[in-house]
Amino acid sequence: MLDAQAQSVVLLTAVLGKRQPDGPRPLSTSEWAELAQMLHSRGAKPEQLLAGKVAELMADWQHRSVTADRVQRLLDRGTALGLCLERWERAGLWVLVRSDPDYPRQLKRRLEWKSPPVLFGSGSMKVAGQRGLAVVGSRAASPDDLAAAARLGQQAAAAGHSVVSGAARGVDETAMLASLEAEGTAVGVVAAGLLRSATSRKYRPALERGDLALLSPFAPEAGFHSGNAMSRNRFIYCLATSAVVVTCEEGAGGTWKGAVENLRHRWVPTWARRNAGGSGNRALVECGALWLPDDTAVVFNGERPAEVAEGAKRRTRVERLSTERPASTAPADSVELDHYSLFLMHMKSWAAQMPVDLDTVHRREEGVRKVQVEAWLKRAEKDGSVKKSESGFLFVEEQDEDDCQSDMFDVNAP
Amino acid sequence: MPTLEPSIRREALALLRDAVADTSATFRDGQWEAIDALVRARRRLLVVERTGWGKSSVYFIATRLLRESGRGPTLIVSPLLALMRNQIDSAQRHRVRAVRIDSTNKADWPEIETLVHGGEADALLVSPERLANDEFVDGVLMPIADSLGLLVIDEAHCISDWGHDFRPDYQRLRNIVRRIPQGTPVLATTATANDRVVQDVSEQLGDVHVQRGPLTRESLALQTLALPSQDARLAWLSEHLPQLPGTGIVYTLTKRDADRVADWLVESDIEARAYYSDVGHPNFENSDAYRQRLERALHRNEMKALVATTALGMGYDKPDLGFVIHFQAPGSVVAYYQQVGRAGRQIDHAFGIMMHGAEDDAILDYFRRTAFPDEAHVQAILSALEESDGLSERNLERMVNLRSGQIKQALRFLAAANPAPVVKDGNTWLRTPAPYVVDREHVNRLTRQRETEWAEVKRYVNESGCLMRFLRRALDDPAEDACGKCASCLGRPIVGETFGRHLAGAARHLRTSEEPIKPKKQIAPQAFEIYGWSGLPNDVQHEEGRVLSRWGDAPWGAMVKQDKHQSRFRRELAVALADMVQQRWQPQPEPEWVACVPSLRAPALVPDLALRLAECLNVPFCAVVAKVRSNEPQKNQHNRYRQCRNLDGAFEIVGDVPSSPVLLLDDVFDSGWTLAVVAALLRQAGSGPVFPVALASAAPGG
Repeated sequence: MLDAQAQSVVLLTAVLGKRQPDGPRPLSTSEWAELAQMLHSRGAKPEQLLAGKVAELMADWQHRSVTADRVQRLLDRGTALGLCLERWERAGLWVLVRSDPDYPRQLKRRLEWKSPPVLFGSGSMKVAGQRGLAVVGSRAASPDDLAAAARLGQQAAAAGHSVVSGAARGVDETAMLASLEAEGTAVGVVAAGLLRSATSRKYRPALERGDLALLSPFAPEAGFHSGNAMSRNRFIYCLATSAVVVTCEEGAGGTWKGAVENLRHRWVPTWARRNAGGSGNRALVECGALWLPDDTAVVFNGERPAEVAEGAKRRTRVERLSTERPASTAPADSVELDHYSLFLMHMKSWAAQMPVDLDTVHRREEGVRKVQVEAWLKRAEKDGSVKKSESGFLFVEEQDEDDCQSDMFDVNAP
Repeated sequence: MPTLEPSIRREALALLRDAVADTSATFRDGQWEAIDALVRARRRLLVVERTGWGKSSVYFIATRLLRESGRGPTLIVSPLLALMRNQIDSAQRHRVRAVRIDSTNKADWPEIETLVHGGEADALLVSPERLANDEFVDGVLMPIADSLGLLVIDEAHCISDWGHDFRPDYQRLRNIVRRIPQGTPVLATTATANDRVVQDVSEQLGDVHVQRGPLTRESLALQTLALPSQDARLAWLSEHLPQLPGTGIVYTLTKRDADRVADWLVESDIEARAYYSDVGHPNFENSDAYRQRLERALHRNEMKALVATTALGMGYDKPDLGFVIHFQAPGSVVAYYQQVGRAGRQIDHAFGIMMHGAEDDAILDYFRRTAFPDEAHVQAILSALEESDGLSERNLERMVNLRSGQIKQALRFLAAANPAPVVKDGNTWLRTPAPYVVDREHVNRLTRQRETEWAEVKRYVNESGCLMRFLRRALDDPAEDACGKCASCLGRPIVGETFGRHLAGAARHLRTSEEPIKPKKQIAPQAFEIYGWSGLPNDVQHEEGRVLSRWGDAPWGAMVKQDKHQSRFRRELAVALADMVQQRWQPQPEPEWVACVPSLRAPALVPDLALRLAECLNVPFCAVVAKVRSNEPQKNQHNRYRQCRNLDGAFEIVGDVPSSPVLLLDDVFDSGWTLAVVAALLRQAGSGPVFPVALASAAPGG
């Protein structure tokens, strides 16, 4: 059963049932991060919002989109929450928020405030915590590609790694089932149809045994939506310790975009399979991936080969948001934000529409020295987060990295 | 914000006065406090108050106030249709725009969704059965779930498995409420709960504030009457009912008894009708419409009595009900108090009389035994689902040999657990990864609980002290004084105990309460491959037939039960059949010969009876039907697909078939498929219209 804090996070961020055009819009991941940060800075906890304290806790907080009225309307969805939770839990699905000890640490560490506020899933979360090999590949895979995926699954099982994949037909499913058959474990990050996957004959026994976890950042009622399928790719990489691209097409499809995103962020080392059916693997290697050697032991030894790191550095457009550090131990749901991330969030709200000049930024960032603001702006310019022009600094939204929550709204989209 | 209180209270009072059309009306004890707790403190509240106290005023006024402050519509979960209709009337008086959503108005669901989103509905009424139905929740509730405000759970004692009326659908409701965060107002109400049930309900709902008032009904005079035989009780009813004041309800335990008693009362020139969950009438398009008509007729005192099962029970709200009589004793004293408490709400004198018959024990024992699905049935269903990616109920019928009702009951039971081993997605049942073991301890505990409750009812029947005090003690109502009105307090019956005047007529009524056999119209797909049938066209269906009795019921059914295991049915039964055919049924065109359904297990039994029936009717018996394949006993086939397939190729027509109308005889009538198949073979072989006739219908489950 969810505690009051988890209830408030789900109420604030999840679509419950079918979202209505006139209904309140759940907070996006970044909106939630900002609200949580504000509450944290005032020594308040999210569950206090539920105790009728919205007006009090949100007093004097100006935000372009997160208003007290919207927050109250989201929290007023108590009956809907009861209906949804009962339904999910009855079907054996669970709900995790970031403060939950079972929430995968790798996600929080790598994605920080961009990690999903709520995860839905089935099966044992223990398998998501161990070392994992992401196996990805486009849906249109040749028999040869599928055989390679199956071999990788078996090798991961033998090496004691979970296979992390998307549970879609083709490469995903083949690698996962091969690992499970070899008495290994697997993690499936699904974009839609969590309930059907969790009750399917192929996955049900492994879920019962505790060898498989299926999880999704999208509510179980969400239908298939290509945006969801695309954005869940980052979670596959972030839950793993290394990744193999079995096959992909250059410049197209979720597999390509996911692999490029991973190379850019350097979440995990990327290996590309030679002789793949698709043309994309060669291009990935040019972007910093490494050819998968015949002896795959190196993939599982956890070391980041020097040349991989070098290659990735050469090609990386953005520097990672912050250096790696242990997962947050903050009591509240919030992922502890470093100052620079927080600064970027502020820039997103001030300067997404119109450029803002240095002085304005400095004035708004109360209590921060001007040299610090300048340093942050320089760093943001370098990693592509802001664009400098004559009239000031404009915040640049990263491509394909929309908040996953915002993709959930149109659950009926094809 | 205490300074706001007077204005909200004033507003609430104005709404109350408007609703009851009385400018000087005031709140009853506790009404304002309950409204205040819901609207301002947004609490979770359990209100235990007697029927008629005004619970609906509490939630409708709270709804008005919450709506005015911008909250969404109230969701009211109410267990019975009769109750819902009363609530819609009450909503109208409170100027609350209430909409009922259930399975019968599926076509209106999209419109209801629009109403809710347009802010044009203030309250939604649903049954717990609907709330436990995923298709319904997905189709209509989830699209509007975002905007729901107050949640009301009527008859909340059903949540407690210590209560007399625990229902699996309420288990789901309980699990929903437990997951609702604080800050969402929830109102649970009941008029029937003892201390244990109140405590259990408040624990189940989690952190609820309990408000409890006195339950006594002062105008009610109680009496008990143990009359073992049915004919004596029927005779008592027809002798004394006309003298009772006003109009009222006669409760029976089964639908069949409701029909029987109502028929007898009508025969005795007393205006009465049977009322139960699927009671029908040819002039009404569905049972629901007919039941509304019956409720209205009783409400307007257009009939003396409704003869009802518990389908007419909780919440039926008629202020001047003169009497509640139990033809058979109910399973628990708390249930009894709830039913008898319908009488005398706003009149000075009313009667509550409980009769106790010989058959009550067996009926209640059957209810207890079938309250939970059989463990073997559960396992069969689970293994079928485990081997699949999901199955519809129709496909499940092919995989497991269980009655469709048994499959439904087992699935409903399994799906109520949380986590549940099965969930329904659209029309498909899915096996979840949740492990499942039958909780035998729980089942045993509940069964023992029911047995204890039944023993208490029997003590009530024989109680020599004040009957009202007995009931109040069972409900933990502390008042100790005697009522001074009941048969025990007065030392004499309040209604006479004689029944001799109509006894002979009542006995005759029981001998002549045969039932129709309806023709089958739809066969299971692919079940008749040998006969090559893909349907049953009109010209091979049989006509409406008759079954003389129900297995085991006095008098004929009891004889059938005794004789079935001997080699011969007694002559009396052949005479009774002939009497029914010639005197009462009189099928047209008149049958000119008799045929029968043969059996390989007891080859002489039915032909022997058929021959004697033919003699009585003075027509020939022609043994033209032969059993050519030994099949499983038909009574072991539990759903339509199995029943049809088991009969495929089992019978053949031999010899010449007369082209005239024929009576087709079988001894025990179960699903009716055997008669339908043999009739179709006879019609195909050139016979005239086929009229099926049987000695007894098998009891369900028996």
